[in-house]
Amino acid sequence: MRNMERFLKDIEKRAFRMAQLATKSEADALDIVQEAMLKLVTKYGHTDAQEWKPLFLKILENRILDWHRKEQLKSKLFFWRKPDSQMDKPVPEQAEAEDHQFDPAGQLLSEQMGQQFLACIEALPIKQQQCFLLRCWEGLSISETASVMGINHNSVKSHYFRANEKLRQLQQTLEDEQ
Amino acid sequence: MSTYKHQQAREQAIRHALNSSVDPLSPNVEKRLQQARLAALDAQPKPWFRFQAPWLGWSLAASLCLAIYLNIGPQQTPELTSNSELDAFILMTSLDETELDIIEDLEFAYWISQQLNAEDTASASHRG
Repeated sequence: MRNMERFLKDIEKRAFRMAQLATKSEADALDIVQEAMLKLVTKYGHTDAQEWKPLFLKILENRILDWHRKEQLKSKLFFWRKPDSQMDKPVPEQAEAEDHQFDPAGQLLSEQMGQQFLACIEALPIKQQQCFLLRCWEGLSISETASVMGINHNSVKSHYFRANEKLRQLQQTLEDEQ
Repeated sequence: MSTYKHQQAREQAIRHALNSSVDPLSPNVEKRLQQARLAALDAQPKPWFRFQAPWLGWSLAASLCLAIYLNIGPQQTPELTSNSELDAFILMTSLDETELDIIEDLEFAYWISQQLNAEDTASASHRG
């Protein structure tokens, strides 16, 4: 029980951010994380603690993709409406900039650049976005990412490469501007 | 800087930006996440042997003991298989000491009469 609480406490913020980047909605992201937590605890609470992270991420991914499918259907049915999820979209430019540098190797990359990257990630197609977040932020291997997303290794490599390419182009643009 | 180093630096910057974006989250979101976590933990299925109410366990244990006692108890008394045996048992337990002596005397008289009869038949056969 304590282990599960610790695990959820450790992962909940990142899970929320991943869902928020995917849905662009705070409320929907909270709902998705809550559902994922509930499913993990009720269905897989008895499993070994080492399996919780991939299981939780898999549930989260499925919830995010379900949400996207529903949104796509809604946007097709009600094509004249502006999507609600755009209403509370965070504005990267409004984020508070910190003035300290984070890494000697990346000293040229400012906090402002980090915010630009987040905005770029938010704009990525859902599969590329989730693949990139799982690989880069959660530190999953190619096979772990493939298992969590329910796709094959080549698709993971392809999504990750495309996401990286877009971020590289953004970085190039930002460095040219500086 | 090589392409690989560029990628490493970029990924590190992105990780940093992502980590900064969740630490801290708004108080409202943190509160909602905490509520979600507690609700999920509260919904965790309990093992079947752990009772929600402690009195339920005790009452079941007491019922089990009573059932065992009732099952074992009657086997300690002699089983009476027929009505005649039951009647004889009731009769024997209801007699007092004098009545028992009389019954024993009657048995003795019956036995001695049988012995005498046996002797008579034996002497008659000798004579014959």
